[in-house]
Amino acid sequence: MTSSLCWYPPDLPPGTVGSRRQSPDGATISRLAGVLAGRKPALAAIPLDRIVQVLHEASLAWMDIRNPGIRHTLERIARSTGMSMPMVERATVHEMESSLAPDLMAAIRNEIGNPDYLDGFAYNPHSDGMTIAVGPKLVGGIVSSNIPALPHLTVMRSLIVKAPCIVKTSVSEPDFLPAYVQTLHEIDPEVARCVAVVSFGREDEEALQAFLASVDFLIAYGGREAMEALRAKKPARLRALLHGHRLGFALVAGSELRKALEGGGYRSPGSGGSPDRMPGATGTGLRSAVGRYLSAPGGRPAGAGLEQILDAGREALGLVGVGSLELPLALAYDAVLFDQEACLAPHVIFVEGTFDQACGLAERIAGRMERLADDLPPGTRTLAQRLSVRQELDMLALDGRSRVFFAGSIERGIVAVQECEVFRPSPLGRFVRVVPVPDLLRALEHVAPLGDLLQNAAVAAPDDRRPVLERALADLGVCRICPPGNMGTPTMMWHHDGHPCISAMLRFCDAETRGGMHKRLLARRAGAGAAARLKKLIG
Amino acid sequence: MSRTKGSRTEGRPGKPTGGRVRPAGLAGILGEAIEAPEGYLDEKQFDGLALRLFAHQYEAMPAYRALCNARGGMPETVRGWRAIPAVSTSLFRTTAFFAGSDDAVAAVFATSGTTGGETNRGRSHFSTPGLELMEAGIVVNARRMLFPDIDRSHILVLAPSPELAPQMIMAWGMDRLIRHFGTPESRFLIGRSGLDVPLLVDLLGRFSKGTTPVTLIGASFGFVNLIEGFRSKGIAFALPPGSRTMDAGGFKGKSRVLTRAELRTWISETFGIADGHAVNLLGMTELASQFYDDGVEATVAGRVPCGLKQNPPWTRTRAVDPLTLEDVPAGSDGVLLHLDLANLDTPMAVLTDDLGVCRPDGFEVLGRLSSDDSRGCSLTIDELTRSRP
Repeated sequence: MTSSLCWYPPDLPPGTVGSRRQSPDGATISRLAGVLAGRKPALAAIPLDRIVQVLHEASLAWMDIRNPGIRHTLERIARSTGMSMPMVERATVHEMESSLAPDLMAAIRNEIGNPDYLDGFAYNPHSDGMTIAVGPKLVGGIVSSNIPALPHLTVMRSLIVKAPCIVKTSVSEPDFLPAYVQTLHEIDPEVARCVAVVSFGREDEEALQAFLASVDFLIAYGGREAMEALRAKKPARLRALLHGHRLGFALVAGSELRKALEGGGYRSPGSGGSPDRMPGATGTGLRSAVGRYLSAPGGRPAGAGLEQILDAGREALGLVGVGSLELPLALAYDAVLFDQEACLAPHVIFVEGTFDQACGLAERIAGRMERLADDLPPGTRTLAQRLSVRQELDMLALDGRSRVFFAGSIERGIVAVQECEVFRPSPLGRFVRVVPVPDLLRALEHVAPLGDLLQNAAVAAPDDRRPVLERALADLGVCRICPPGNMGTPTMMWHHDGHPCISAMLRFCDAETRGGMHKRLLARRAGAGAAARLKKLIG
Repeated sequence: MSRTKGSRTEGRPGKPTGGRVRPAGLAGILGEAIEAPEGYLDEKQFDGLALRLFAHQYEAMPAYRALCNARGGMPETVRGWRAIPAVSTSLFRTTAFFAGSDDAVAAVFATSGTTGGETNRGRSHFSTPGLELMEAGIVVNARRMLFPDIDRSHILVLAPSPELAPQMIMAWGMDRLIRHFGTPESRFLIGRSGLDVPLLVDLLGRFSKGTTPVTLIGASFGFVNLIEGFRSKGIAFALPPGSRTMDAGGFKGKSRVLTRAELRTWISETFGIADGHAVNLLGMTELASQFYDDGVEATVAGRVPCGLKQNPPWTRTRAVDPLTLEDVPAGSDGVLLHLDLANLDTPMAVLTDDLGVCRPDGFEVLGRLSSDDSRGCSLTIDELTRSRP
């Protein structure tokens, strides 16, 4: 497994790029981008099914966290992100499990209806015509380092829309993406030759300008000011999805709070399983279960199908019963996963109840966070994070309407109960605030001013209250609503930041068919493949 | 921890300021310590004064007492100055710390509040004895670190006067420097319409023909912007020997960013200031005392400056893990925590958001920590503060 800064297709023309261990300059980026863009027709000719299969196989390969090569990369990621190795493992399996073929295809259908549009003109029953979806000539990705194994999403999105891509990795976590693309290369070099990974410093304006000038679609992740700077620097013609920082929160209805305080299990709608299941604290455990199915001596068990593998992965991750976790555990898991660094993680848990009831729940959450820390040890907080936590604790000490619960120690997690009038964010790093409110509508007043900063809301409420709450959350700007315990694990179907992330990259072309003749002409023009598909579809 | 040794006091030791009568009680004791002719407080002396001041502040400031109680640091449990609970600078934005009644407040200074607007500005309250103590510290410190070799200088301040900026602690301090070390020609050069460049050019031109050393004082970013303007027009001066500059703060977002060496070169080329006569000052609204680097003091004493910030004898600085508040290993990066016996009215122990390192000869500020430095894609407190409608 490579530990290079960059990954380049091995079949580049001589002189296109330099060493993989060096950051490319602007001229190199321009040359590389030119070559990649030239591979667009070849990529467009590869059937979507084959591309999805390649991505699926890559995800399976990365779920094999016992593989020495994978492990080597994960250890490097743990060092560079400061997350504990078990957390990096879990993040990787979480991300890869949601990147398998069924989810990929479902995501495509979710956004563009018919996946065939990506392979060529296909019959569109809604228009009674033909439609094709054309991806960009070259996608540029600028990815961050916060969630291990997440940067592959940019590569997947690009390949799905048949667009070559050049991705700039985070300088602070440069290891994952080159290793992931190497996996793609080992599975299907013809697909991987349309991908390149580069790394250059954030101060390298020349490289950035060359990068932005070379691509015709940009996907970028980063802080809000970094996104604003990119927006200002990018050419006006360059279409972009800029994923700036956002935040999550949770709502707990009074009925669910009382159940939790009485010790009852929380059951989200449609969930099954055991209510007191500990994520990751199962008898088998993540490593052993995934290892058994994917990389035990002898490899994957003969005949193990996708569902078996997924079941094993879910079981290993403790996901089987996540939807039915007892509420404090579910909320603790949301605050612990990825050390609360994802934009999906909760800053605040609003509870419909009294201060004392909130304290009761907070104490239980802190207790569950302490237990979770055994399986998912907290990462190393940066000095800035530690200062931020200290400042927050000091503010709480001066607030007569607050109480703090530690998850065994200050390092393992902090739950602060506080009566606030306005939304107060968390310093993160397993620090969650519990805010009692007389009514959940009051909680909505807290978050309403945040508007497009809102990302994710976990809702623990009875079925009869959910429709009103969910509609209100959507109107306020929330982009995802889920049960507690699921905040950190969205599916590929989720509209990240509220955008259709696949279809936003596409340009659709609709060929209208009128009176049958047009339809026949189009069929002829589209070639034999499209004609056959047309015949199959419309007879 | 870093502190200045008594042997470093090469210039004249401290003198009582202006012959005024020292206040009685704790303020008087602290004033005597600051102005002590020997210019040195050993650990025992510092501990004694610090614990006495801590006990006073614990009793007199309910908000500070609440914080101390939450941390378990009370007068009966704190055994040395290192254990005195420090207050985060962020708390000064939300809490009025003042060891006295409201009618005893003689001055309130505010931080620049670069993020979050007016409501996000930290404030420090001072009583009259507190202001006198601060003035004593300013004078003694300046005599050692800025004017060890001269009594008077034409002091030109690239900042507004206290009348124009009554909440700016830097303006107040510079005014004290003018009063104690300035010639009658000394003045502030920023008015309601900004820096009076023509007047500055005129004064520098006139002073260049004389022999009285000139001292230019201002914010670091102000120096950069001024010199950039001068360089673009080919303006330069040859100020009299012994002239010097003192810049304070940093550049972030307000000017081109230079290294200290680059700024010294610019200053030398533009004003004809000799090597070792451009000193940097670290000052904070939350502290009555300031920290100079040893540029002028070492140069005058014939030593090569180390460039590190020096603690006045009545202060101490530690580099700590901000969560545990324990010292980081020697030479490691930590968050700077200052103790200042001149902070009579506000908490004497202040946890900054400065990343720094303590070395045997002083301490170094490496930069400002911010929750923006968080690794995640979740919104940080600072981002939210800037984004909040």
